[in-house]
Amino acid sequence: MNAKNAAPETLEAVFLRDRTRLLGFLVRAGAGAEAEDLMQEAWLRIESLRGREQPDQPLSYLYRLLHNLMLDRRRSEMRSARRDTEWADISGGSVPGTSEEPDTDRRMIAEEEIRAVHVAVTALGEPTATIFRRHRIDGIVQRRIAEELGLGVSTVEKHLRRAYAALLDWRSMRDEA
Amino acid sequence: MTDANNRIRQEALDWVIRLRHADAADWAAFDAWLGADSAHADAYWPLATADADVAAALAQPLPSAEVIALEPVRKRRWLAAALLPIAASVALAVGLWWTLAPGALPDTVFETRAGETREASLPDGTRVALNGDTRLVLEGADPRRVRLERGEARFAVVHRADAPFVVSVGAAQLHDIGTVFDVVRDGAGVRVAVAEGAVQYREGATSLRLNPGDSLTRGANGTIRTARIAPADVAAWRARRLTYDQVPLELVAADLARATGVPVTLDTGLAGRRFSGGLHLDAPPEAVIARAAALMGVRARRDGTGWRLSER
Repeated sequence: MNAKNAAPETLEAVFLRDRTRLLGFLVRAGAGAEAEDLMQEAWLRIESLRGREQPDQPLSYLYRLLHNLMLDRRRSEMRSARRDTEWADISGGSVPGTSEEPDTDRRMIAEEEIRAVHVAVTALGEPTATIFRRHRIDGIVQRRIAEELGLGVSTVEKHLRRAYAALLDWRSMRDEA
Repeated sequence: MTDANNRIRQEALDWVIRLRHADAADWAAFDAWLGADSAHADAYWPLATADADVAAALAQPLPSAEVIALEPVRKRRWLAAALLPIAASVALAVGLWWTLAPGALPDTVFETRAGETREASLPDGTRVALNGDTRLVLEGADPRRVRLERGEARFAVVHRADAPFVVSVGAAQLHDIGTVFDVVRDGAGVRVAVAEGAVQYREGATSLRLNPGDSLTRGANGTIRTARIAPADVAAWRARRLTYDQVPLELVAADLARATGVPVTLDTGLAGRRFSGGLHLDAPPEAVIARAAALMGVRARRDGTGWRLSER
């Protein structure tokens, strides 16, 4: 970060130097017994990047890598929990052969889900929907979105907060339903 | 929700947003926030997973509004149970039955209610679209013979020289010659219109060939008249109607917006509400939306360039 003229440090070097701090991050984030395992997984990813171009900000890259590995695990746990419930519904809930076809059902739910998310974003109204898409999908920083739309940065921030709050509320309501 | 919980949730939400573009200092601050209270991680992860789910869905292209799989009125439930204990699509079950027991299959009935349009594939791959209040019968063991008992159907036939596709309608038969065509049967008689290919109309000693753009009307008294129609207008009803079965209003609003080209948004109070029925699109946007709102039991009011639906 502070080595302005030197080449950025490699991910491996930073990982080894800040290992304790990164492991602590996982523990504080609630990884518990999985923390060491996630560190291993991160290390394998880093090794696979050896010899490639290294990111400009290796430490923030590593934080994000660990964060995303943890997020992936949480999401796949939730997905399999959801599948288990569906399976129980289908096998226990009705007479075989008269029930809906599970594969088709699941595909339809997925498609409905995609539509529903698009609709939920559109329903935010403008310019909130555009600001959200630019930020979340296109990865544009708030300052540039503000320039693009001729708005103040604080206005963009306000719209973003409203969008995230509405969408995440809506999304968790669906999960509970 | 207590104030403290509310505050933690707000902070967690801020982190979801801020971490999109975080440098090492942001991450260190996030780490410190997590370390301050174990409730912080508990509040953060559900939001982060919801955020990832929303982003994953949003990265997919929007699927078009569409065809609901058609189910025959009389399902062969016991057959599905015997052959395909869990995964039994109706077309597949019917197809299997033909293979296993030719000649023994009773008729299969496809029926729509008024205001409902549906599409389906027949076992031979022929596509059929049914307009509202329509009853179509697949005759016994032959997948190439159907009977339109009432209503309107549009067929896109998979042509086979050795096995013509035959639609019986009243006293007449329609033999396809590689075809897309529309058939109506109602109290006024029978109407046929051909979009592509050709159809041979046969009734008693009468045999007429209908080419693309030809239409034929047979009155209840037996008189037959032919006329011309723009092929693109054949079965135009298919494009002017949306049909829903227990679909969330959010999706209906999105379809209306796409069909009319006018933004249609929903008050949060209506989120999760569902709608069943058919909506007509053959009118100016204001009329389409007003009528749709009436059917859905909601209020539509102007909102900038578009419309907003709210509780009545």
